[in-house]
Amino acid sequence: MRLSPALKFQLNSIKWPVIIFYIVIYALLILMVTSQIILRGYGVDGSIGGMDMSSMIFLFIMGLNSFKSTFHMFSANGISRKTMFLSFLITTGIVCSGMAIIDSINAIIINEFVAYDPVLVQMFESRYNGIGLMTYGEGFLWMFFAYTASMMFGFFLTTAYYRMNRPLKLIISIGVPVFLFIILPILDAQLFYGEIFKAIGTFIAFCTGQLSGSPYVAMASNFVFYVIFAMLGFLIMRRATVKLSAS
Amino acid sequence: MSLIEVKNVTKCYGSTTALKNVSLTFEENKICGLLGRNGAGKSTLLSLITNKNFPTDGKILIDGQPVQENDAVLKKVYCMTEQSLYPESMTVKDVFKWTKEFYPEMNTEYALSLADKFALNTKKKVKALSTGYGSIYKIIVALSCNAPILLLDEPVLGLDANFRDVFYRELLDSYSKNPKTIVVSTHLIEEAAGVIENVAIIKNGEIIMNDTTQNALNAGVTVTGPAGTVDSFIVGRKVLGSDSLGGMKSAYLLDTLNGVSVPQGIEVSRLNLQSLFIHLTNS
Repeated sequence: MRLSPALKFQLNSIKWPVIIFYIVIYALLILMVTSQIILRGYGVDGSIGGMDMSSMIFLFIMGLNSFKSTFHMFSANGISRKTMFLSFLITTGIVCSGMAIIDSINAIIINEFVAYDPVLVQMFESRYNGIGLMTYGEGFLWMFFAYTASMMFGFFLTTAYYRMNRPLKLIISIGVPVFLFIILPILDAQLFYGEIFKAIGTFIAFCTGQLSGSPYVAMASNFVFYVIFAMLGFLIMRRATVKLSAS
Repeated sequence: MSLIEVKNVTKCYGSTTALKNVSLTFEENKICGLLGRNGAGKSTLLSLITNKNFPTDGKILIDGQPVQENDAVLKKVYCMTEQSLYPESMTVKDVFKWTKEFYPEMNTEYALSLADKFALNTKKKVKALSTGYGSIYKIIVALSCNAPILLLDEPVLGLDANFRDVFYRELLDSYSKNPKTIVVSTHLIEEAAGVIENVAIIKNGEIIMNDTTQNALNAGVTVTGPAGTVDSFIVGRKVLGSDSLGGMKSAYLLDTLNGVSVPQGIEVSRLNLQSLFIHLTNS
């Protein structure tokens, strides 16, 4: 297995997007922190947050962009699909833990200047009385699992789209939103009297740890999602082929 | 060792059969021409050998080991494809750098010297290269990566005559210094004929000839002379094709003419590979 060059390539591919992402984030943070400090001078108190959500979205997009180009590059250089997948698994671990550490440190620094509310604190307000060591520790773990699940979800979607033919892509791209946002609400309202969305809401509340009030349930759920998406992604990509023009 | 064995390989795309029960061996340290018309199945076969695609049936072995998802075997092969598989935003220099990561035996100095010979700007991005230079950077990678097996799919696509000449010279030079198994899939048969030792001809997904180039060419002759004399001489013989110019005619025969007395005015010469190919692959 030629894991080392594969891993090096995957990490190198994500290096610049991560750097650019944090340049943008820091620019925004400087702007937000400065405006908060200025507003405080006028007696307006406020807080900032959402950095972890930005990272989650960014990593989801990175997951979406992680397949086709890398798969072609690896195919050109004699790297098997299983080595590619394994290198991606390790990449998610390294990148997501790195970004969770950076976001935790950023949270500590920002909190020195203005009130910073990570998503975790907003979700489990009663658990955290102020920002402390436990918040940062659990925050890091929560972010790590949320980031990995998010990135792997992107990977799963992109591999699935890569394998689909054009009509199927069209059906899925139009069909799923139409079903979720039009058909399902109508069915739920007309036939199930709101039970479907109630059940979905309960499921989401359970997965995010809102039912139990424990962030560890959210971490476990994200880990389960990560494993499920990884397994599905691998099952799809293990038979992926490079589409070449025939001659 | 660097021996490729294709055993009873069939590849279907839906209801289309691209390869039908193909069996052939690419001998170790030989240059083989894989010839076929458009859509004959050449690229499909090369993609199966390099694990880019999976056979519907049959197996492919390199040095006795299956190629499917086998990193140890795949690292022995470099396949230059018609399409670029490198990230479009990557520069040529970075392509060389990453090839060195994946093929540690790559000779980067040689790659840079070839880039000079071909007047290739290595700072250019892959997507900015013309068709010819799109082939050239891949040729350079193929020649300098030092993989024991090279598969070249339409290597001279878009290259002018001068660069094609440079390519064939460098290919032979590299091969003489460091023998390797090379498979060249091309449409430009006459040019490739000078370098290939073995020839495999593929037609509609089936191998119709797999022999040494010498044996293939010895199977027939070209007879040239006044049209009338040639016409009467070829009656009853297996004619591959003919060309006429003024009162002169050349006819390509699938016949060795051993022991046959040739009429005065007719000249007998060796068959050329292109004529043989055209005859064999005409439907």
